[in-house]
Amino acid sequence: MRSPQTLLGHVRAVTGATVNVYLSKSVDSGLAIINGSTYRVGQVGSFVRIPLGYQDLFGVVSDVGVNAAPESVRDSSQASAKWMKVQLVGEAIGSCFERGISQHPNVNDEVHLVTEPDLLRIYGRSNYGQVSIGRLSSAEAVEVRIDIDKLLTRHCAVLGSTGSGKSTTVASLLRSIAGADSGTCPYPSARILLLDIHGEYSDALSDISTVFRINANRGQQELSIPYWAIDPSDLVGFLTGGIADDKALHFYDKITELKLESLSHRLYPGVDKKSLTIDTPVPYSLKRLWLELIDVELRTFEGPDRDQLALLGQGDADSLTPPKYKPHAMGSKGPFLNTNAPGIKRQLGNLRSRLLDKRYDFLLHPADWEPDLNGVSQKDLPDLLSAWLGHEFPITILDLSGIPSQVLVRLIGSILRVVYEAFFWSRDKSEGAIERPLLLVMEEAHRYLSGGEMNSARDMVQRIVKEGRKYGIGAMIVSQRPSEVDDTILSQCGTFVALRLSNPTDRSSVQGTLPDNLTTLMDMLPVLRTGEAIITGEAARLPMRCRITFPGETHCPNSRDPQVAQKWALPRRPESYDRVVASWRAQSPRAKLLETIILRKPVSDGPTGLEE
Amino acid sequence: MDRQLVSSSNIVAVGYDPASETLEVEFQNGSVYQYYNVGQSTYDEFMAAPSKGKFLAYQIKNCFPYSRV
Repeated sequence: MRSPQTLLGHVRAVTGATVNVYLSKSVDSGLAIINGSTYRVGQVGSFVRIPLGYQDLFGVVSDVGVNAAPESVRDSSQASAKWMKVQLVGEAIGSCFERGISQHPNVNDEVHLVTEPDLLRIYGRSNYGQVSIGRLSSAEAVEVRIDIDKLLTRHCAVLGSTGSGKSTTVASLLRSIAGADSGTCPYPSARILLLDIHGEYSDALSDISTVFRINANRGQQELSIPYWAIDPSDLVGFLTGGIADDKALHFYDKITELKLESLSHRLYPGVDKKSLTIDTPVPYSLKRLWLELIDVELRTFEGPDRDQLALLGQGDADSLTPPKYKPHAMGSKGPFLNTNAPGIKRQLGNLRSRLLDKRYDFLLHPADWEPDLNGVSQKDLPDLLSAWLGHEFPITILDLSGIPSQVLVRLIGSILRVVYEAFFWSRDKSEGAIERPLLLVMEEAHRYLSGGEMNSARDMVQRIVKEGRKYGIGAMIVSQRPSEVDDTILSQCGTFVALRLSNPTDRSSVQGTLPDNLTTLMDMLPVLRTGEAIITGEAARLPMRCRITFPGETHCPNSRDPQVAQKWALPRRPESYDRVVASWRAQSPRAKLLETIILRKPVSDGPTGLEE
Repeated sequence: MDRQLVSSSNIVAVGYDPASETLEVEFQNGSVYQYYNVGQSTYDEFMAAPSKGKFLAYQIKNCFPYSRV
């Protein structure tokens, strides 16, 4: 039934899941031609098949040559280089392939090359629940598909050095999930949230995504994150620039008080006055928080009982003007300082300057979500969530490139918290993520998911990777520095897409996630080509080396390497660095020097040129 | 080179401000670029060119300062 040309050799020794194979003479040439296709024999990382009656065992070649010989033979006269070490990974009965093996091969069993029909058996012909990501490096005719269910519920990590093709891989994967290039849309309800730290993806995915960005460009939406929805302890920490717990208490008390008061102006379904806590996401005014706290600090008293306020002028919350009191005097006549003041003047000063800082507008003055002094905002959280998660496209890109790096970690923590809390509590609703699962793609994860000190983003992602599965939230961690990403997070990832990685520490952190017998596969990491990846884990049927399908030119993320030689060879253009500085000052790469309004006319190619 | 050929059908709309010598080009994918110091004559040639994309790639892109806006 099997053509004998596929024969590679015979089993000589079996240890655990490792099989030593003695290569037969017929493959001395290193090439095998089967049905017109040429196969290279004994490539590390390629597959072999060991037929056992009705069953076929499948394995991956991990070593070839004299090192692959069993220890006992190595020094003896029998020694030769015609050995191959194979790691068993799965078995197939009929056309049904499964990971894991139920029996071991015997000595002298035949070992065969895996041909395209065999691979199709492994990868299955059905498209259901699978998404194509690329083609096998060893057999380009075979499409590599990965299991979406496992990819999402068991989380995954895309790792590779800069320039190895990470962003392109992610873009390609997301495009094929969204069915952008195939013309059909297999998953119309797909829901993906991408945290784009460098603003690389908005062009690549423009046709299938909604982009939220600070200082939005045409076709994008303004990114706002209402401060009142994020974790109060985090917020207070950021606003005050660090505060001791006992002093933070004054802030918390005031926040709760203001939230409670806000309920008397507007009712929010699901919120009960009696059960309101500081964490309940109800709008309140930060400006009032500031005014009411600073008032207590500045207050002076006069009169015989020291109980009359020595007020000179009222403060104003809107313009952040502090109230004016008579300055206190030392003598026995007063005015006297408020002895009950908690002493948080410095922190309040910080809060005021944060409120005035334009860079934090997206958070502290979040457009329509900014509450008035009574704590009533024009828009509420449902509007925010439906804008982020309920729009027409499958992908939402939160472009965080305009965000000051001091707040990046906190902000990502807050975004994730808003999303996670919403889905945690809506788990029994059809809008929830169990009914419409969510894939969270986190770019440049090492920047905000590192171990070490207090880090709200990391804590949140740890929670997501540990329990997100139950609520339909999956995480995709993308990083060039896996060794800097928190261990707990990486170890919870079930699928790894490892692109070229040369740093030994990074490599060992990827290797550490694999079962022992497959670590040799990862020794190939430094020599992978750009856009080539080793995919291992739950979503992949077998550990495999594959070439990622690149999206078309216009759909590549704009993180491609600058073409140094080509650009340096150009004649010099006139330059004007005031444009550079304008961009820097505006903190926007697309800032203009002159605000000219230019009317654009549609054009088309052709001999007539202009079309009016 | 291939990329530049692809871009020949890529331009959707073009605008020009003679006062500041600014040429504004809108591409198919929604991005808008401004090219500076582009003289009126270059602009006229551009508008008369049979292939706008090619003209832009060869005569404008690598010769004039630009900024994405």
